[in-house]
Amino acid sequence: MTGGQLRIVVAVDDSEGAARAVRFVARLAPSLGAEVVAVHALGLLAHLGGETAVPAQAHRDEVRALLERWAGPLADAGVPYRCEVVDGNPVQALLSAAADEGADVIVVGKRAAIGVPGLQLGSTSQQLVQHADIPVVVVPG
Amino acid sequence: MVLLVGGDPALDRHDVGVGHPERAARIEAALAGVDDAGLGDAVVHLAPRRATEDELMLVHPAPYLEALRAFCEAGGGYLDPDTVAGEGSWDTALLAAGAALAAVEALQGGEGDVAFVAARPPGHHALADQSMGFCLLNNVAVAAASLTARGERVMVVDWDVHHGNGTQAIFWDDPSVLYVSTHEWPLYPGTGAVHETGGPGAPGLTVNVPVPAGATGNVLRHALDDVVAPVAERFSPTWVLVSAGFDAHRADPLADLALTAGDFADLATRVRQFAPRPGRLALFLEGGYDLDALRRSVGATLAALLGADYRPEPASSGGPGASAVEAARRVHADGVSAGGGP
Repeated sequence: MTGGQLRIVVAVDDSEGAARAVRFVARLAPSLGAEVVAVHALGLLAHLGGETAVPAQAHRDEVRALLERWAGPLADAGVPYRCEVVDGNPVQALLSAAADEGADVIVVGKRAAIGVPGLQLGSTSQQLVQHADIPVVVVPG
Repeated sequence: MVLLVGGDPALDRHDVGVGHPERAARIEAALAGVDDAGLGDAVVHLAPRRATEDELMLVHPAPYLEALRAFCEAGGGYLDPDTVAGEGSWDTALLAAGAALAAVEALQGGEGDVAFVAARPPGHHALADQSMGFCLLNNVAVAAASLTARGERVMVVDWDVHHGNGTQAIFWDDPSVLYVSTHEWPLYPGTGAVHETGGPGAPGLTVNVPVPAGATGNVLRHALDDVVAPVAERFSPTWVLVSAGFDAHRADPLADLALTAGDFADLATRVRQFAPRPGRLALFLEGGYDLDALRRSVGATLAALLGADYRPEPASSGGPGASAVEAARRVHADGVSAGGGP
């Protein structure tokens, strides 16, 4: 725990699962007196959309703006929070961000499973549970 | 004499679906670039072979290999949000890693001065036990490990626009491998900070030069001259392997550096000087997703290495990044201790 105040890292993107995770954190954080870091991971294909590609750095700025919208429930609840954009595979990026932030817990929405167990695969939430050295809360659909 | 390995479309069964940028047409573009360079009889085509499990296990643990094979044979799917494998991906990945090994073997046999491996899927993001970033098996790492197992000292130069996190992690603490990367920062995969310099067993043998969006060829030329060359001289490699991605080209859709085909030619001639003698330099295709830019860049690179007159675009300069190179130069000026994380 950092400075006595609980710090929560919540994974955010444009999915309904992530929105549920943010709403869960927005309800939970005030009673815990927690601060929140909303983290979005940018993959290799993140800025390729449809027929055209947005330049990677311009896309980064666009995502920062979107992050504030995705984190809206935190603002509405008066929770102290920050938004961070990190690069990489979602699992590794979230684990790295949680370590850098000194997080006490990671909150993530449950997503459809990708891949198979045994290959360090599975959904983001499954892999986080497997590899994190802090508690992981998976918010079901 | 350049040895050209891989790139047989009939053997490419790594199907990533419609719209994915890491597609089979990239190999055709790279091969067309070789033709454009007009190298004639100086190009010798070699057939790839499949890497064996023992060869792959120098880098990848057996449970990972078995799980990846089974995943592909079961029909495949998404390995992460960027990375797709299909039923034929395992065999194609074996051929890509095997092509890398075949290139090194042919050079060892004195069959050429330099080798270019035009194969996919690419490899430098693949960790020992995890696929990511379009990569399944780390081809350049498999080639490097085959050499270090025989006592060689291998320098890996990675000029792909993305940091080669997999290669760095695999050789993080290995004193027989010098890993050097120039890459855009910030960008996927988020690793490759300048203070990441190697593990306690290999201090200073990881060299990262992260440069900002818009950086031009002169920035990377300075990086090789001012940062990398002194480290290479101290390391004294017996082999030089290049993770030759061409997605730092200004036309590439996945990143924002501003290089040209001429810049890659100039990088190649500098990297060649790190090799102790002809026949100890091999280049492996990594990224590069604009087909025309890839074609021109591959052609210019190989032409430069063979002294041929094919330079479809002039070198570039004027972009930002000088301070980033200077920061890396200071970190590595007199040899450094271990630092950062793999």
